[in-house]
Amino acid sequence: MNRTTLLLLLLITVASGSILCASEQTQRSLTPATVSMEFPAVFGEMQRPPVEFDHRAHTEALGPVSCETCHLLDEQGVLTPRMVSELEIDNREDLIDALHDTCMSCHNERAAEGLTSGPVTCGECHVRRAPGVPTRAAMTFDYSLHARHVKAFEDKCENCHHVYDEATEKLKYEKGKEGGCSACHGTVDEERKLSLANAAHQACISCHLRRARLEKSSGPSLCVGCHDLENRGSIEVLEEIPRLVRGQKDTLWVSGELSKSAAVPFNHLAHERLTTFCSDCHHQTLRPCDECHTQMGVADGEGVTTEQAYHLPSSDHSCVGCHEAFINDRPSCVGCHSAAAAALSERSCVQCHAGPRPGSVAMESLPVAVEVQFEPLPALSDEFPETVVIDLLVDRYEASTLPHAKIVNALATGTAESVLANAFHDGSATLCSGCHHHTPIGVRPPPCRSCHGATADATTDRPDLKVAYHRQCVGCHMDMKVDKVGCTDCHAVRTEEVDS
Amino acid sequence: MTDTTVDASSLPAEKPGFLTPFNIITSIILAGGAVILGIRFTQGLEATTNLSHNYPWGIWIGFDVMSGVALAAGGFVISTAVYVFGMKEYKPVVRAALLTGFLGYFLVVLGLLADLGRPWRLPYAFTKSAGPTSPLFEVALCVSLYLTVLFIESTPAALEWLGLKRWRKVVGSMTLALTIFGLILSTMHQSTLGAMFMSVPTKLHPLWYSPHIPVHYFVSAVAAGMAMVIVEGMFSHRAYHHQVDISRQHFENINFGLAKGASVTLGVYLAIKIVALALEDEWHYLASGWGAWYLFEIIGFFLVPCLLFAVGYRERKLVLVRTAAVITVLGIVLNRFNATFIVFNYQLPASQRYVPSWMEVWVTVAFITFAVVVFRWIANRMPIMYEHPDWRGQH
Amino acid sequence: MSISRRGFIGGAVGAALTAGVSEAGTTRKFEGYPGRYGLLHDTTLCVGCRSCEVACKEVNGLPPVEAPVDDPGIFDTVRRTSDTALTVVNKYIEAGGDQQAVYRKIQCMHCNEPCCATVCLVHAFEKTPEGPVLYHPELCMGCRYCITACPYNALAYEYDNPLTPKVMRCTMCYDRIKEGLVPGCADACPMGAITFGKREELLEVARERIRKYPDRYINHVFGEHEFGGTSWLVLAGEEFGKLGLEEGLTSEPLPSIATSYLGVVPLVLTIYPGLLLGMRAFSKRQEEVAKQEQEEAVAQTLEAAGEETPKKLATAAERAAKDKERAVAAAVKKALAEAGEGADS
Repeated sequence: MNRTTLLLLLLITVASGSILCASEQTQRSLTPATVSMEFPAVFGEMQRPPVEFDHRAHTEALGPVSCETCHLLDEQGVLTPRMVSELEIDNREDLIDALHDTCMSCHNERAAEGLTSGPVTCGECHVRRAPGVPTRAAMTFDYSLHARHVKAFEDKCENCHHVYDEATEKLKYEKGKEGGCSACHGTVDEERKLSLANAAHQACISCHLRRARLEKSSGPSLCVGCHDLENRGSIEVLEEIPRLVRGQKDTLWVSGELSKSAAVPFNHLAHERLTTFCSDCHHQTLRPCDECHTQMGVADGEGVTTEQAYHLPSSDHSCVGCHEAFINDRPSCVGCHSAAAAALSERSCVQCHAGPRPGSVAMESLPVAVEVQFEPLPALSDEFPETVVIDLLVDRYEASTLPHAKIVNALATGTAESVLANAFHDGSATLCSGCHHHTPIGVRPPPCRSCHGATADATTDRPDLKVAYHRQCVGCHMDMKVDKVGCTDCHAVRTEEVDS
Repeated sequence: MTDTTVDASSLPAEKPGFLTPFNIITSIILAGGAVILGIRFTQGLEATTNLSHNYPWGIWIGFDVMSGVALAAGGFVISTAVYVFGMKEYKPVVRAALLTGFLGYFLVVLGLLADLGRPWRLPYAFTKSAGPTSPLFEVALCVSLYLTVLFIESTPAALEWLGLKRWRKVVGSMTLALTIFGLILSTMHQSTLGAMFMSVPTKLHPLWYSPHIPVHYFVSAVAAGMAMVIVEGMFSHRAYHHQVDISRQHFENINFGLAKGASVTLGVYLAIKIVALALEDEWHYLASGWGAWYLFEIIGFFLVPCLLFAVGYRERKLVLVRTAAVITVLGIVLNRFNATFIVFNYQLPASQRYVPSWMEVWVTVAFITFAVVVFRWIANRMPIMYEHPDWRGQH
Repeated sequence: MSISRRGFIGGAVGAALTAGVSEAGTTRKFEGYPGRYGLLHDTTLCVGCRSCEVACKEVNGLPPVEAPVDDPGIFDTVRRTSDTALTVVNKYIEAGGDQQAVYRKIQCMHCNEPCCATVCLVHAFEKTPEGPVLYHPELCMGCRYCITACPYNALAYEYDNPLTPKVMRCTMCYDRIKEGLVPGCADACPMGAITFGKREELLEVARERIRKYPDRYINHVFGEHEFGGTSWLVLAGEEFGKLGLEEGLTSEPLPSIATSYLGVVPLVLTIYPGLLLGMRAFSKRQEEVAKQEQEEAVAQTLEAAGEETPKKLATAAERAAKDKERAVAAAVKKALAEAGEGADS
């Protein structure tokens, strides 16, 4: 073997080895405390891989008074996210120098003092790694956490909530105008208005630290405290959550500004209990729906009209969208509410629009909250049989026995467990329409075969009796995750020729 | 065709015994082929071939029909050059080219008879129920007519050998008409063989599929025909050098002339293939695995021989010309195989692909051997390699 | 149907000459036989029970299904139609989470303009006015071009049959349709995933389902326009590409694509003879000119040689005459001598 061959073999080995290694690398997950330090895009590509800055390691190494080492305090001595080093540089080379200087000078000094220190050579910070997936979860506020803050601040909302006063160019507090942070604070800093991340970090962390120093009960100050799902689970949840009051009524009439259709008696209080936070419905501004959503749509409401705001199925904030998401998440609901029975929702307007017409006298008093109780099923009778025998396919299969009462019972149990279902299924007769579609509620349904004949009707897309049965039963079983979808789960194969 | 061919055939006058190595080997091949065909017609195609529902065509179609027709194109190319364009210097090879062509088409018919489900219904297309919209109908019509034309075109040698002077004169007078008719038929069915794949735009890889595939097939067949004449001359000129009545210089000049023609034709072929890529904007496919295979075919088996032909012609190097001719012949076979079963149904997983069974290969080899034996039998007896003294200088 | 319009040659050259012309000259479009039947396969309703496979085999008298109907292992491999299974159900998307398994039944699509019929050289396929594409085994010679040409890989061949092999494919239960019955698979489907009816009505049904349940369906009816349209129509809730159906197929009928070159055939037939004879005449004329030039050149050389030549010729002739005289004299002398000797003896 000559040298060229050896060299080639070596090259091939190295190449295949590196390919193998690369393919073996699984995706890394970045801890919430890891900050990938990348250039602003305008400065172009980085020569070396970005530094993955471990915030937690720095906080731990520098000890309890660590923050001020790197971060500036404002004039009131409040910790800010801004850095001690001047890093607002619009020049690639100078920024590189400033960053290197900030990190390496500190590392060098601490090393000289014999303290724990970080690396100073290029490759130790700029490590080439497989792309990482951040596990940092956005912080969310719920009623419990809010209530604990309210308690800690002794009902002084102004400690956190503020609005910007254009006249005085100062922040001030206005009672009844409290909103979510991200109503104003966006994704990036805009002049004096900080980004949501910077605003939240400044407000929350500095306060938590201050209270910690005063040895008062305090929230987390490390990244993982808020941004790691597991850590966040250890945040105390109040058993009894006091109602968050911002001047809202218990019940109200919901209606469009020019609407003529019957108003919706809306139980605000009941919905508060079923949501995570006000912003589930109200967006971050916490303004009433009709302030932004008008009949024609305005810019404040992003052009979404009143009708869409309440009915858009694709929106998380609309009534219909939220209700449908609720239904679709629950196998016990989708059986009846699947495509086959979608017609149900089309005649359900009056379920919500049950109030008086706008302008009538009745609108002047607030609606009365009613607790709907699901009425019990009727006793078994000829009208409500326990079982139904279906022997359509006797030439191949034994007759199958449909456990009619058992099915209705299961539906009734599921309905009684849900507040939403209780409110909308007014009476047990509603359940019948899950299968006996096209029949008015409360009326005895005709037998399936009166509409579904021996052959399908392609013109009207009406299935034949066999298909109607199978679609109704199998479709529902699949949607409701009932493990009875095989042929012989319902009807045994007829082994003998008709014996009697 | 091995050295045994040369040994056995170079001594035809001495009447050697039947048990020459050539005869033994050919007998084994032909007997084996006959046995396999026997199995095919008693047990069915499944017992003998690896054909499947996804790959209804294998090498019996891909080689015997698709490649066979292309490689037999030498007949019409040379006869047109000599009789229509008056290139008299190619006259010495015209009979061998026509005979090769006739046997090539004979091979096509043999292949079809083996491959068709019910070969005895072959005449149905003309006698019982015509399907004139089918490209295959046109192919069948043209091939059957052209086979007749080639047969008539090949008869002068037999008639001279048998001394039937009157008939020889009649056939001689038809030469020009037959040549033109042959050229028309060849143009049509050579391109229609390509057109057969126009109905599979979704199954044939876009790099091979083109709305202009009939043109691709025709041009590549012309190149294949010229290459095949060179290859055929390579073997027969050695085997029958005692018969050849032209000078070595003249023979080499014929080869160089063919090399020049083949080089230009291959150049045209490459050009229209590139145009096809550009028209359909298929460049991005070249980066895929099939693209590599395409480049292997187009560079290795068409660009390389194109350049070798050109260099061989310029430098007067017969060995280069012959190498190029062999590569071209292989390239045509590869190209036809690609369309018929390699690149056909390219989306299917490897487990469902077609690989010919040994019996299919054996039968194909047996058919080729049969054609060689017939060629030898005729060339040993009739004036193929030389001009009959009585008919010197005539059609 | 295009076949009748696209005839060429028809046994005579004359017909071929008009083929290209008639195609270009027509101003009318044949939209297919009115009221023809079709089937709508709604893959969102299919539960993979394979009842259609069982029914198809019963109706066509084929050997029963290879694996029990409730054997889930059958879906581990994607199968295709064969000579003993004219329709098969495949699972294309696995169930998991909220995703329900997606199945699709495959079979001959019964194209509006079937390419199998176009490429058959014995015309063994026939598009019936009722919709089904029929195959006539009594004409078939077994070239299997139809199997090659089918864009849906729906045709199969009886490779194990040595003497009477046939192409095997779904017949859309033509005989049952004629009797007023529904095709076997549609009749057997418990979920109504296969609907039989007039193709036009089925298109309406398909569009209505999409309109009614936009979340459930991809807004496309496969087979409405693909390669000129098919009798079988397919609805899907997932991208058709995931269900083994090629997306974005042209609406141009495959036969039009396959036979678009036929217009060139008359050109070859008409232009070639004249062109070639012309070339022949041209090369002949060149030969004649060359010959003439050669003769002229000889004559010129002679002329240039001037008067010396006759002189030389004359001397040569003289020399030849003298030689002859000398030879004659010698011969006479010899003869006389011989005669003298003879007289002496």
